[in-house]
Amino acid sequence: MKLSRGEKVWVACMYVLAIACGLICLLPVLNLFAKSLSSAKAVASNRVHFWPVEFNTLGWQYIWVYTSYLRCLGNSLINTVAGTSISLGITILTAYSLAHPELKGRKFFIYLYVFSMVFTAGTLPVYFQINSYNLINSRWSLILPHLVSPYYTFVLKSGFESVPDSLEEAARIDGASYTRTLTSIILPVSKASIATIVIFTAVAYWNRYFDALLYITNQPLKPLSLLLYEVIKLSKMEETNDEIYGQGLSQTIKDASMVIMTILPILAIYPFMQRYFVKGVMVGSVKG
Amino acid sequence: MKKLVSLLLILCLALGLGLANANADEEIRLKFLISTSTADFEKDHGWSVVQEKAGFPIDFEIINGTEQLMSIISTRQPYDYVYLSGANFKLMMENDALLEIGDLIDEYGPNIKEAITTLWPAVTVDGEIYAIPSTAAQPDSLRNSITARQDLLNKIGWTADKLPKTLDEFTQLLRDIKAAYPDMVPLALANDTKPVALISNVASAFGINAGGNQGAYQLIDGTITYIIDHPNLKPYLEYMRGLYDEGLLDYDWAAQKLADARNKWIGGQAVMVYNSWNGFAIDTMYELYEDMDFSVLPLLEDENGKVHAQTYSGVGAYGGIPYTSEHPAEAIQAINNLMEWDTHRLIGLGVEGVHWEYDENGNFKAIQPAFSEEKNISNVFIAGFYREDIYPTYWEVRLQKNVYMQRCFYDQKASLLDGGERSPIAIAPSTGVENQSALEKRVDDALLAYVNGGEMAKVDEAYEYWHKNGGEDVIEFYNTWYAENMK
Amino acid sequence: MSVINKPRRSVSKRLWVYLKGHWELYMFLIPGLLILAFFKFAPMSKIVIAFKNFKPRRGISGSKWVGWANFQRIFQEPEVWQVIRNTLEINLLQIVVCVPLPMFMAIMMNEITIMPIKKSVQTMVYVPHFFTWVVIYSIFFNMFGGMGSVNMLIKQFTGNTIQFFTKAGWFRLMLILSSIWKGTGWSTIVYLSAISAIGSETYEAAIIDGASKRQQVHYITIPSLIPTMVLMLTVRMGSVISGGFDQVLAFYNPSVYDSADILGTFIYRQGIGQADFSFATAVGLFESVVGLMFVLLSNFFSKRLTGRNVW
Repeated sequence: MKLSRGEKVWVACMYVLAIACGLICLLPVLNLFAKSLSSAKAVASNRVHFWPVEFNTLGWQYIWVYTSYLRCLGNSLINTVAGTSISLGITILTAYSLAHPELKGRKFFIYLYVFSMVFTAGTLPVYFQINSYNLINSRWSLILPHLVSPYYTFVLKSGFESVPDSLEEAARIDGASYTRTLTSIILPVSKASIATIVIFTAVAYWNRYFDALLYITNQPLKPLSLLLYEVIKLSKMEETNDEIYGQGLSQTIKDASMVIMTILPILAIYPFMQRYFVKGVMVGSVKG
Repeated sequence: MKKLVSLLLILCLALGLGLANANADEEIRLKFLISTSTADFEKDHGWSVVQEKAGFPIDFEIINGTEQLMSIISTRQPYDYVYLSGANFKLMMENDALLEIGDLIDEYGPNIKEAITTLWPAVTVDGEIYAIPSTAAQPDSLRNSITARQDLLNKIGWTADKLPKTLDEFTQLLRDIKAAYPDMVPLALANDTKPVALISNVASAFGINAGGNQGAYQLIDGTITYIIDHPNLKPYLEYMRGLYDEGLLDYDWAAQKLADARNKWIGGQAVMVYNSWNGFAIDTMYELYEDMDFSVLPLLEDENGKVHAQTYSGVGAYGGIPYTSEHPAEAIQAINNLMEWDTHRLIGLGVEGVHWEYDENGNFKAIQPAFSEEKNISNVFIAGFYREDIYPTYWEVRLQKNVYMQRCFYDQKASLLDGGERSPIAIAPSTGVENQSALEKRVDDALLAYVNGGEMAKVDEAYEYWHKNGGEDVIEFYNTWYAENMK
Repeated sequence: MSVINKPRRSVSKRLWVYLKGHWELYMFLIPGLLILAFFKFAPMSKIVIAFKNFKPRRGISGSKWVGWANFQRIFQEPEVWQVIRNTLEINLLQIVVCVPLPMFMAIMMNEITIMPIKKSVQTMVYVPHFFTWVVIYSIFFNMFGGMGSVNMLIKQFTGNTIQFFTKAGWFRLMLILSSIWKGTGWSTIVYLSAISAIGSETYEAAIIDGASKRQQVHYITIPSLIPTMVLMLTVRMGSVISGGFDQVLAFYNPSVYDSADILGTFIYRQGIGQADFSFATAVGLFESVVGLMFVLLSNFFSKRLTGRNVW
């Protein structure tokens, strides 16, 4: 297919624009990365752009040694893995059940989920309730309240509904129980949408900081997202916080190192997640 | 299915465990809420001293801001101690959330009583003591003052020995700077240095006390007077306005925070900056600028050759026992143990010969790198109950981490000469006037607006408003309190 | 999968038969319902705080009933109105800007046919979606702060810097730009799939008619993406009251409280932070109820416009 001159210009423009968009997303992160590994002097004189100047690792060392980075990282991992796997189990079971028209009271259950999605009791009532379960300062306060996601339940439900009825019916007529049908027929063909939900749930668990901000005062239980929030937002307000360590380090470098060390784990698994996006997200393209 | 069942089991177990946590151990463990720190407690030398000397094992937990503290208080979680900033102390008092600890201190706190001498009025309401008043770590120092790029001043003839001492000289300095460095802001200013709109160095020439980071209350002829009633306020404002109109100040004054003003100075966009000795990155500037040097400007003299300033003093923070505490007596005992002379030093300074030593003049000197590495956050374990008599001295050792900051601190303190006065309300309790902060804010805004090109009518309006809407109650409370407690 | 017809029996008998065949489906619902009950519905019992003058030392049951007084305060305090205005303004602005943008970006990406370039651009633009708002705040502060690269550039041209984070108008720009940065790339996925559903024969017919690429976009691609956009728009309208909390909490600072406080942050900072517990709960309930109305409205419009429910 031959392109006219005008069309060539049009296509070229699109390429330039697309690459520009990509760079706009990449360069700010690269800049922060470069700053985290540069000297305070280079950073203060604005000489750091996209590559470290006067390379040193003081900022990273500060985060590694003088904050509870490692422990927080561990906590985030535990919360994310536990939260995601339990949540996935619950979501699959619920979605599978709700996908069956013969379930009596189905409408009622669906409305229950919709209602819980759009109506929340509010920050303080939830805090009181969590407290009444004795879950303040427990990992579970960060895991349990977010196990059910109505939205992903509906996404998965429509995914299950799109599996041809004939497949499941054949199995049922052969006398297979619902459980067996689910595990041996439905789940294998829904891998893509399940993978998507795993990614979303895991990222949500990893990034959530507000709950920890309220529920966690016990230092050994802090997740990484909270440590990040503290380093970036809180430490600057507190006058008593005169830590001695950290000479030759500016706040900019500490901040940059903290940010980069928080997103590294995400970037590390990003390539593995990426292939599920396009396949899986289609399922979730808001059809109900 | 097996997997699913086991998942369910885990879930139930988790809930069960959470509920079962409640009744576990017999031995008394104290729970202390202290201020946020991103550092790892257990790596710090102070932490292990506390566990050894407090008499009880103490779990330290952190508060991520006022919101979390209030949530904790509202749900009656049992904590035995809480570190409180001034604002949080006020909130706790308003919510009736602190225990009266006077009797407990009488019984278990001989060290507490010995260590704190002058600060008790700040925590006493109707004769009852509600918290331990912790001294400001830098008492009788100057909090805010003008710091200048001496290297730049040298080039235009204002050498360190010739810095301005009078208003006229100061005006001349600003004009010279403006002429020599037209691209730079002569004096970077921020809207959040307190008292707002009062520059200590200049205010000094008008007999106005500023620079102490507290409210603009001052003792004039034995009476506590608010800034709006200060006889020299208008001359001061007119003078500053004159500078503004000439373009000698910072046009961003009303809009920018201290951090921004500092950044201007550090980044070479300003010749001078009005701020505190704290949080500087002067060492970076020494790397950035050739022959970098800085100096603290003197406080300007009034017509009698005297200088005036409000010093930073009084209570820096409060240590309270929440009403939910299950072991208030033990908590007081533990605090008492930690305030014991040797223990306090062990936490604040560390071990002699390991973390610190005496220098040739007999002053404390930090031994590096041990002090930085092992005493990084030691102060947080005694924050809220610093010994009034000695902690400020320990704190000055912490200042040694940065020689430039240290020099700035001592230069500022020296510039006070004999003109530094404590704020008369430094240890006053809350006035109970509900809209006090709103009233003060209105005055602050009006003053700041005027020196930034606004109308004098606004200042007059604020004057009226202050007097009509409760300002007189504030003044009356302070004066009555002062007459009863401070004379 | 239908229930097999049997002769009429008593109700309980029929129920028994039904359950015998379908009990598993109900078992499957239990864990989810338990979590909902414990963590979504049970907290609603604590809403009574909104109708009391809650004092920590008295506890919930010991505090005095005050009826609707806390709700009356919502309508009396000018501060709350300002907050509601902020909430609507910030969210609406975000919707207007952030909903159409991904459509144009998707059209642009669709023109990229060299796979390695397309793949790497996609990789880059999807990443920000996975960052927490605190990270995004740091990245933006690093760019737009007083000493950030953008300000340095501006200074070179104008001699002044702009206070992006402390001046009200500029701060809103930061909120919008960061939303764009975080979400646009990711949101293209939905549009890309819609484009791929159009089918090549439509385009082929247009090409035969002599339509240029630009005309194809104008007359085929955009019209066929409009329904998707409308759907996204209505979905987003549902969160016009509740949206933006994490973002604003990470971004704002005291100098922009007046213009940046939205309902969620107001409840957190002023309500809980100033120990105004009952009022905080009342405002929270107000937010939930109004939010619910918006969701119902958006669902209604979505049904009318696209024939689909939002959920």
